[in-house]
Amino acid sequence: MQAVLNRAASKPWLFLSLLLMVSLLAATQVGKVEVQVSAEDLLVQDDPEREYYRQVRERFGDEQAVLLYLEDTRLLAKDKLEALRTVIGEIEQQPFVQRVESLFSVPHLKTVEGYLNKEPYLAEIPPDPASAEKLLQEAAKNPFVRNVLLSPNGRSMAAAILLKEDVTGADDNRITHTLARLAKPLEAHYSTHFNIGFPQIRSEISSRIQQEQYDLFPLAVLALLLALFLLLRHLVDILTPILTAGLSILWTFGLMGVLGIPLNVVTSIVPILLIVVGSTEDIHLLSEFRHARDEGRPPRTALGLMSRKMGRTVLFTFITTYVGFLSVGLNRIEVLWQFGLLASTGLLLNFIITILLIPSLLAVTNGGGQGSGSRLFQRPPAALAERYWQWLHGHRLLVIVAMAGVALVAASGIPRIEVNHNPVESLGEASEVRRQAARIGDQLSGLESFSIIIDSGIRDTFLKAYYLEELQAFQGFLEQPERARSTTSFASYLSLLNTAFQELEEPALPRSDDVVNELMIFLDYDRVKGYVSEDYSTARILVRHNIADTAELELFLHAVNGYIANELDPGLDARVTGDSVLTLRATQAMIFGQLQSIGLLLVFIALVISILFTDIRAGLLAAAPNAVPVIVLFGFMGFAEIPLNIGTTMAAAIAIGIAVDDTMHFMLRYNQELKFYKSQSQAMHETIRGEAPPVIVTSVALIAGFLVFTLSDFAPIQQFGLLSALVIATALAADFTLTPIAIASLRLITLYDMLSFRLRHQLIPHSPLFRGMRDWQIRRFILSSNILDLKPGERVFSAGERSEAIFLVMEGGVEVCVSRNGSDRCDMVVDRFQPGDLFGEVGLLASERRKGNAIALEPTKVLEITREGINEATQHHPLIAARMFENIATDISHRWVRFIGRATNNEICNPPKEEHGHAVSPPAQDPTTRD
Amino acid sequence: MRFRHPRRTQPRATSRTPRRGPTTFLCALCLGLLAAPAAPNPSGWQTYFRAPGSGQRVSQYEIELRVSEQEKRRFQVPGDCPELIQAAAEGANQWGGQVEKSQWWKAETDCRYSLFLNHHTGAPQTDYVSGYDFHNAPLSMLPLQRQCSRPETAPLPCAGFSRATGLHHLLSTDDSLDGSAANGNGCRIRNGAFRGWVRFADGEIHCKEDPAGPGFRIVAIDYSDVNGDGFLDAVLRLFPLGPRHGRTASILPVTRRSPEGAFSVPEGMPLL
Repeated sequence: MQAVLNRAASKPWLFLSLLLMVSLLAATQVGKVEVQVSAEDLLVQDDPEREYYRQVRERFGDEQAVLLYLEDTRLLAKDKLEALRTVIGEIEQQPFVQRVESLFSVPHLKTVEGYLNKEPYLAEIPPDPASAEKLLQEAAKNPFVRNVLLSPNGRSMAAAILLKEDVTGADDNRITHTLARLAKPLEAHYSTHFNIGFPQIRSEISSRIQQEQYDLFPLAVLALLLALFLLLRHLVDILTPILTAGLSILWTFGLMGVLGIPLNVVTSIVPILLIVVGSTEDIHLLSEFRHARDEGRPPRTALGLMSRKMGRTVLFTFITTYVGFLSVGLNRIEVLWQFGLLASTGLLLNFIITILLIPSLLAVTNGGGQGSGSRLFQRPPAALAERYWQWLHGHRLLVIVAMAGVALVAASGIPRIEVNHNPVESLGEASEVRRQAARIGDQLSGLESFSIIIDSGIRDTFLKAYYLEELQAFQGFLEQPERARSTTSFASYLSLLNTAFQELEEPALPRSDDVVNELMIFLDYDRVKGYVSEDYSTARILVRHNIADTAELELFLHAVNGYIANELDPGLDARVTGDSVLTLRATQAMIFGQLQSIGLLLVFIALVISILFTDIRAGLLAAAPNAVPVIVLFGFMGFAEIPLNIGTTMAAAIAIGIAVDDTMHFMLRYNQELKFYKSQSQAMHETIRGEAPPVIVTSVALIAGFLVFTLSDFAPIQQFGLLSALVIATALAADFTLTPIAIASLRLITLYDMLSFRLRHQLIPHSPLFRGMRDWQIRRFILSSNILDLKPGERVFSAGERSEAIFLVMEGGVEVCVSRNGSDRCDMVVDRFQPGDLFGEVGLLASERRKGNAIALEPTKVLEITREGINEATQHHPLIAARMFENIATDISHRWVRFIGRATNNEICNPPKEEHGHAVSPPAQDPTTRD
Repeated sequence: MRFRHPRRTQPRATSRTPRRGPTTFLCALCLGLLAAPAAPNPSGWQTYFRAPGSGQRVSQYEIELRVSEQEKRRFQVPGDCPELIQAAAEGANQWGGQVEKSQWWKAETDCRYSLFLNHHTGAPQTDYVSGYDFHNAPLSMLPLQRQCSRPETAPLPCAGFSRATGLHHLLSTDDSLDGSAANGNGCRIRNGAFRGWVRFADGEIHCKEDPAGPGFRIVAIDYSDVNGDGFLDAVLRLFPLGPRHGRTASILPVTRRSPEGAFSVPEGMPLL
């Protein structure tokens, strides 16, 4: 990553030209992006239930229709009916209309002079109010009319406009506008009238999406600009994040245009999200650059420092954010899957643009001036950071308890969370379409429906009175209060026919098979083909209801399945399907996908950090500060009665993916600081000092950006914005409290520091310390140790210090020397150690203070194996410890033998001259005195 | 509800020669049946049917019937009745499901009824029935139970159209009933229908009318000399009302030999 940043900084015009070319190419494709809202997109992908429902629709027809709703106190007045008849006639002429069911077409089955009469209820317009009232009463007895085309109080009625099978979501606008235009004349006759159905709902959602692109996008940019201006106050720093986000959106739209991916209710937030999220890495990179410039470094050097310090960090933080977005794509719901892929791809493009554009732009503009314009980019005084850390460290128990308390309180709200996956609900309470849908639910049977397919596998089953009674009993169960508003079946129609023949007052089923057979002679199959198969082996009960609440619907469907299992004749095989069922399955998939996304994301974060820092505890501790915001999020949803829906389901995964970036920044910075400061406390001061400004700036910018979504017209998007902002805010608090406490308890040494190729393959296997050990034993041992990076002349230890570690030279060289008169200078070099050599073990094992000074001769990397580490290895890995002690003993023995030999030959002498400010002498290998 | 008498296609005249339609004697040898056209019967009266599917009143209808596993055939009733009955006799009516069998049954029944009405081709000389208002007849005027007074004159005892059995089976009895006498004004068909409960006692009929109770409706009255005795007969097609009954029409041919007497079932009707 460092190389990429450096390359971009060294050849800025090349990369800027490249970015410009790709952007121009993308711009040519943007026009191809379409807005498309499909009901199927809210369902589960590759769901076998969808295929089953498709087969059912193919066999029995669609459940859905557009309703022309009419309300008036004199519903059947002559002038009104004449106007309505004209309108319906015109609607029937439309190319997208299959037929219109209304009181003008639904047959009123009756016997006239001994013969069956199937003329529609409104074959003739009632001449007076009394006739009209009587007709309404008659019609209300018909299950195909009651609650479907006529309200029980006789004040509302509807015409069901059935659309042709080839009508798709692409026709929504045309259908909506045509029907609205045709129904316009009814305005003068009925107190209320409107068309409502899924084309109208989809059309409304679609137009809102387009509108929101115009409304919210500038607001998101404005919010980001405002946040950046208040926090950074540097033109280049303010414009760069906007530029990278803008290019990311352009590229993403271009990609969508090329691949034919449409914008839908969820993917429509991707551009705004890229504006919000895409700026974070920019701020971190710019922060590092400005810091270096503030220290007086020239732009080129500052760019180099930025690349070195932030290259790896932005890579890892990008990966976690990317995975956060991608994890939403694990959801089996079509729109969420599309969103996950699209948003993560957009983020990838944003990352590419960021790492190429920022160094190029900074190189071209020469940094855009000296230093940062904002005091926030100027790091806080070390004393402030120190005081904060001391306070935090001193009150760590209190802080942990407080955060745990917050999490516990929040957790108590989680069981209150409700689920709602109703697209109509997403339109918000002020929506006219939503109010119209609610009106249909109040006055008629509602827009929701499902079917129960009952199959015997035996021809003519539903010509038996017994099985018709089974259907009727099932319908009775379904029509209990608070359940279905309307159920219709083959039995319902046969009841009407029987009632007409027998001249009964109320619909009644024929009681014998013979009567059924006789009635069948007068049955027009076209009238019942939506309810029974041609061989009468399969029947469908169409259930219409107004249950919008998902939990209620789930209970209802559970009861239906319970009835099928326990009450229905065992010879019948029943299955529930339809829009409601698919919606419920989508809800369940959404909940599962949500948990899956969060779970996988937290595991991924823990895993990445564990690998990165070679310590599973580091991963777990990094996940903890990010688990708190998740709990707070769900608790808040429970207490604030925000349901789990298509928008809120994304909030946790996305926000964690973003919020974990700050944790990563803290950890990686701490890791870097640990290399320069031996004191963990000092490293933490510097971490807080270095990371506080960019972390706060990015968090504030993110919160401001996410809050823009609360201005959306879609409830799920509003809630998504609010919850995401909450998560970022909570994560910010956790990152400044839990994260420092957590990471301070660890020694974060990364694999990058430890396992370079040469170390793994050349040095370590030949070191006396690791002789005879397996690779994993060596690695495990190394991972429990520390690495010291030493400058020339820097001391590993000094005489008089407690012996608490042994050392393995990994790079460079170290010499051990002693002072004869107790001064600080080296009078005699005891020994020199090259890569692979071990030193300092005698003092440790003898528990003696150091006798000499160990000094780096050149830039040196030393593995420090502490007494604590050795004790831990002895306790937990006795085999490794045994091998290590044997190796140490062997090494000491060999050196002792060599020392005696050299002493015998009188090879030990005083140092002839000084180098690096300390005395240099031929090595004197006295294992008892050298340290 | 207002009821009309069946429409006559020609002025009724007991002494006229009825206009006959294109009568055809197909399969007459094997079935002894007379093909029935949609034209008026020999007595000059039109016959109406309930059309399959729609249930509407029609003088003829087309019906598609399965005649083999793969094949369906359209018949016109009553025009194609001989072919239809021939096909049924050959077993074509056994194909298909229950609905198709019911359609076969309907078409066959209508054909047989049409043939029943047209069995005797001679025009009746005497008419004591067509002027009578059966739609508001006292029950006592109609034969409750068919009496086979002269079985030896018929091919079989009480033989005739299988459903010509009297009103009895269409009435629901209630032995606890204490209503008015049948020969009074209470027990009568009103506007073509009777609904209620009856009790037979001491040779009299007691009834209690109940608009929601079981009963019957006269759906059609056809006029023909069904037994060829020269007296015009009225054939009442009665549909039971109420949940206990099927929807099959009962046929009640009635006649009388004096202008004021009670009606009885004509004797010597053809066996169909």
